[in-house]
Amino acid sequence: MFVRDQTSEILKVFALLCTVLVFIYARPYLLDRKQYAGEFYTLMIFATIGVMLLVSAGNLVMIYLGLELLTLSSYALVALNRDSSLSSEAAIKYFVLGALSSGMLLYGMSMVYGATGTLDLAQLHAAVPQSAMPHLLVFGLIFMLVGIAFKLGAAPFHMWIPDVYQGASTPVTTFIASTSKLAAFGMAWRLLETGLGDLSQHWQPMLAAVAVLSMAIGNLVAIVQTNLKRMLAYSTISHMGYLLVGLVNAGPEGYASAMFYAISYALMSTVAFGVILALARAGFECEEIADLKGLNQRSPWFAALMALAMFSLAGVPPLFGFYAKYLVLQAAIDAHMLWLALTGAVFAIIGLYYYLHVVKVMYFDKPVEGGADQSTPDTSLRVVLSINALALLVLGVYWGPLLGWCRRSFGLG
Amino acid sequence: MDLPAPIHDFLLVFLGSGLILGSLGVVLLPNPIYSAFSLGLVLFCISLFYILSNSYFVAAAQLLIYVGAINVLIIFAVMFMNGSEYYKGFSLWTVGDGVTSMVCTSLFISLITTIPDTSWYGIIWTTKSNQILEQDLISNSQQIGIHLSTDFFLPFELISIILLVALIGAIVIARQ
Repeated sequence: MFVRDQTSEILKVFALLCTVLVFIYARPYLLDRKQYAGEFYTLMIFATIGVMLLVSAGNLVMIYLGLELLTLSSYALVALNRDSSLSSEAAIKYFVLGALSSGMLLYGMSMVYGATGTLDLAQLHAAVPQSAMPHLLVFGLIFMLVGIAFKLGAAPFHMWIPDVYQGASTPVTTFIASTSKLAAFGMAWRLLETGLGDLSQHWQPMLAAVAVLSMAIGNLVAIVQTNLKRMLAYSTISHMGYLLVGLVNAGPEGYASAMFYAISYALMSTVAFGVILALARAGFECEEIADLKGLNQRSPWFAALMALAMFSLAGVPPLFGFYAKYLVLQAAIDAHMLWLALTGAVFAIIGLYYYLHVVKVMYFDKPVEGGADQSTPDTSLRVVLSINALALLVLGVYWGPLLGWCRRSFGLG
Repeated sequence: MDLPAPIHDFLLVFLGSGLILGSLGVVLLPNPIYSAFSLGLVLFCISLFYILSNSYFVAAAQLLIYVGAINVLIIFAVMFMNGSEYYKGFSLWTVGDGVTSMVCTSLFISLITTIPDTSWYGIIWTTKSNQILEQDLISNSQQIGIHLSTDFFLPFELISIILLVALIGAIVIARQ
């Protein structure tokens, strides 16, 4: 039921770290808008419990229940700001699509149970090669992949991500972007490797197709976005495509690179959304890219932090995001899928545009009235955000220990 | 269930046709109240299917939860809407319908290739019950209770936490 291994420990440590960061970054924002209520923290802690149970699941029932605890809390968190109609619309879209995908996941799980007779993931791994009903297994696998792809936010099941990222209040978006993605990776690994590892020749091409679609749609549609949160949402879709490229490898090297990528993405997105939270004040959301015009002249330190986040998300060396992308593309090449690695590289170059556009707006445009000005005076946010952003620089050079920890959890030297 | 084969087959066909007609009614009937009642018919037929498959507890739970709670909530919500406005702007075939029909056709084809390939008589877990406490004659509900208290205790507790979260979320969203 509940499995405790190194993978789950790493994911839980980083999920808790990201939740702590969200709490630190959210406090001034909530205080300014009189939303500083116990329900925010309660729901977020319950969601983190769901994340921790999901990555430690040893049984199909536990995967579903951990996922439901996480997603039900997330629905309520997205809808928490009742005065905003955008939040309510985003919550309804998230809820309807999420309920549908949970239903598909459950349908796939029931098919797999019917074909093998067991719900336990370890027994499933043993029973899959001996099953007398391989068609039913693949049928169930397809539906489970729908559920996994929805939770990750991979195309063609990505429609909830832009609306939810834009509509939810920014601390909730930070939570969904960081902790939720770690949980989605954990769920994908548990289901596809620990449970259905023997069906890898079936799910590898499917995941490869989903990955290419995600990278394409995410990178191409992000180019035309003017809202910063929506642009980060589409970039999330492309990053999840890269994570799936790591999973396609279906070997321990691939899983280690995908986990490293998930952790790096979680830390990068906390920086990006943390800067948005730091620059927001009462009555000003700092959501549009145009709000960041000339930030270098008004608040150079935060412009630098945002630039670090943007370069890291784009995958520019020597930052954290570069090595994560490199590992994932290396895993694709090791799996004899050179075309996938080349596609990833091409879309990474295309993706550079919208990240560099933000940097250009901050450094080369004139500041405007009503734009981002001084950051919030809350010292804990400023200190922790600076440490978080500098970690992207430090980990970009000194990635050895973290990568070694990830690789050891999958049994590699 | 222990029924003679012709009666069993007749009941299967009868309930199946009720199910299909009900679901067609949900989708095609113009009045939403009629659709909601057709949904009730579908859920009731599913419950009778469960009885035919020896899952008495699930049949009763289906009646109580789906027909008694969920369908009632659906009718409650439908009654808030003004049904006469639905036929305005009705178009016969749109692009969305093309995509949906492709998806449904592929689902249909995959189902009709999977179903004959499956050895249904190999799945005997609902007819031959698990032997707990060395007794063959424990009823369905008792087995579920025993499993919930031993094998599935952690999920059981987790479900109660999920209910708590749903309650907190609903109150936070809906209160004045």
